[in-house]
Amino acid sequence: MQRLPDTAGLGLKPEHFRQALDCAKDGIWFEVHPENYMAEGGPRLQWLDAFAERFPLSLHGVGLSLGGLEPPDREHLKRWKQLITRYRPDAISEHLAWTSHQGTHFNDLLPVPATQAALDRFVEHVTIMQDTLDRQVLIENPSVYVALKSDMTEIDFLRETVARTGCGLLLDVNNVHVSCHNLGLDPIAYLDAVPHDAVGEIHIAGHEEDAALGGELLIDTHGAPIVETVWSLLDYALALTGPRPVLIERDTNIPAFDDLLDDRRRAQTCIDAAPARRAAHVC
Amino acid sequence: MSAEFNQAFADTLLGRDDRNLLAHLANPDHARRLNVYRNNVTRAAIEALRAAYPAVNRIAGANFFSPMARQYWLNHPPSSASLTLYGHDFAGHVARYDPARALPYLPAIAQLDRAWLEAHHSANDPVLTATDIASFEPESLPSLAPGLSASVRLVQLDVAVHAVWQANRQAEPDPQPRIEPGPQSVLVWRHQGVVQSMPLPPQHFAFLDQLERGASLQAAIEAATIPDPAAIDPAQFFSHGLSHGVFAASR
Repeated sequence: MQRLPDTAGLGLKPEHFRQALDCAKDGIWFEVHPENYMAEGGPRLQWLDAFAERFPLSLHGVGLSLGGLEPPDREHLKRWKQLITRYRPDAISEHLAWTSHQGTHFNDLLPVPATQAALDRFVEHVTIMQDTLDRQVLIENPSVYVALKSDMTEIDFLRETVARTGCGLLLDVNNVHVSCHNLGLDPIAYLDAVPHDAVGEIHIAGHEEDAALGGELLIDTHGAPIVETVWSLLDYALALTGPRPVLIERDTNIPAFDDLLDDRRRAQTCIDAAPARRAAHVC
Repeated sequence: MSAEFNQAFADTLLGRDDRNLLAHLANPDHARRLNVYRNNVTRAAIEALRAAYPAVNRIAGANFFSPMARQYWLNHPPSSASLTLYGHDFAGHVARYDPARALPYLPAIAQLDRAWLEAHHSANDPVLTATDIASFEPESLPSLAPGLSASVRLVQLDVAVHAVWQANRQAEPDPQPRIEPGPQSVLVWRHQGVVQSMPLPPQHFAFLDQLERGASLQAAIEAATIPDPAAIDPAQFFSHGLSHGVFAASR
């Protein structure tokens, strides 16, 4: 079974290709959105060859629309498969979200109401993804901005998905913070309720207040420094799961590579402080 | 989840109507938060287009580019989850976009940005080399139909903007070169991982155009030299193209 090391990794940006490729091999790993590499050829794909040869790699999808009405797009899955064959990633992941509807692709992680019908459909779509790619998929909890009419909590929805598909979870601690803030929920209770053994990877990132609504609404921008509350939630989550791969996500206002390495070192310290793994998670 | 939910959400995102979505909100106060999703979706498309059309953005200005890109997105929302090649008809959109009338050469700039993008992401197919050519019987060369390498884009422009485009693809644009009147043909292709471009005289363009259509070297040379036999030195042009990875390896 392939899995990422229980170390800290970085989201890989083309701006940092050269520095990242040259950085020390001290357990660092990298994550990319496969959608950005779905081209026929070109230098970007060759850069990723060099990374795959040197570092563990994670493919983190944003476009399969597993939470949508329609089954995952076959062409998109085919391109996923090609990337897996070429880069042999140590983890693959997607979101509890939908991104497309009737042929229009919205390029945003849109919310899924936690209803029984939506769950049945989501389970079917995750199964299609895992069966087609012949790999376990990690499913990420989303950042949510509006409360939708639902039959169950998001955690129940994810727990059921894990139980029925055998998928793992990508626990995004920043998303837990953002969603709980926006919906008036308790992030500690959320983390307590996560099926800890299913967590195969953790994300942390920065968020910002909405420009129009201010502190009422936090937006998962991946464009600001990680706040102390999220670092504390990371410690709390790691205490529950034991050491796990932790990724620093930064997609806009991209700082110098060395600043990201500083965040990564801090995340590694958090992982090192976590108690030994309570149980081997299925991967 | 009902079909109505996704359709209602899609209507909201496309700026049509929020009413159907409101019934799905558990907290009616959250209606004012829907702008977040609308903004995210619009911004994702605009920024993808801005990244794909950097010279258009530079020349038109970011504040002009954003509403122009938003209008393109409304007319042609992405149909693929990968935005790598999103915006195939953006040049046509720029030509039809009324506020851009004051910059009549902007569609040609968009054509070149597009050619760059396609060349950049095209397949890494093997190219024909001088060594390959040396391995052929000399008498077989005229009937060889090499085709063009996968990255080659032959671009025909109404206005000669290649120099202007090139200046605006650099981090610090040079003083604006002049726009020459009249049409221009430009070759855009990728060589050793880097996208290259050069304006072509009409005969050279005709020669490559014939090869792209599958013609033999002999037929392409004939087509290119009919108007003016002295205007092209086919051997020299062919060898230049060979050393710069313009031709496809023979199968």
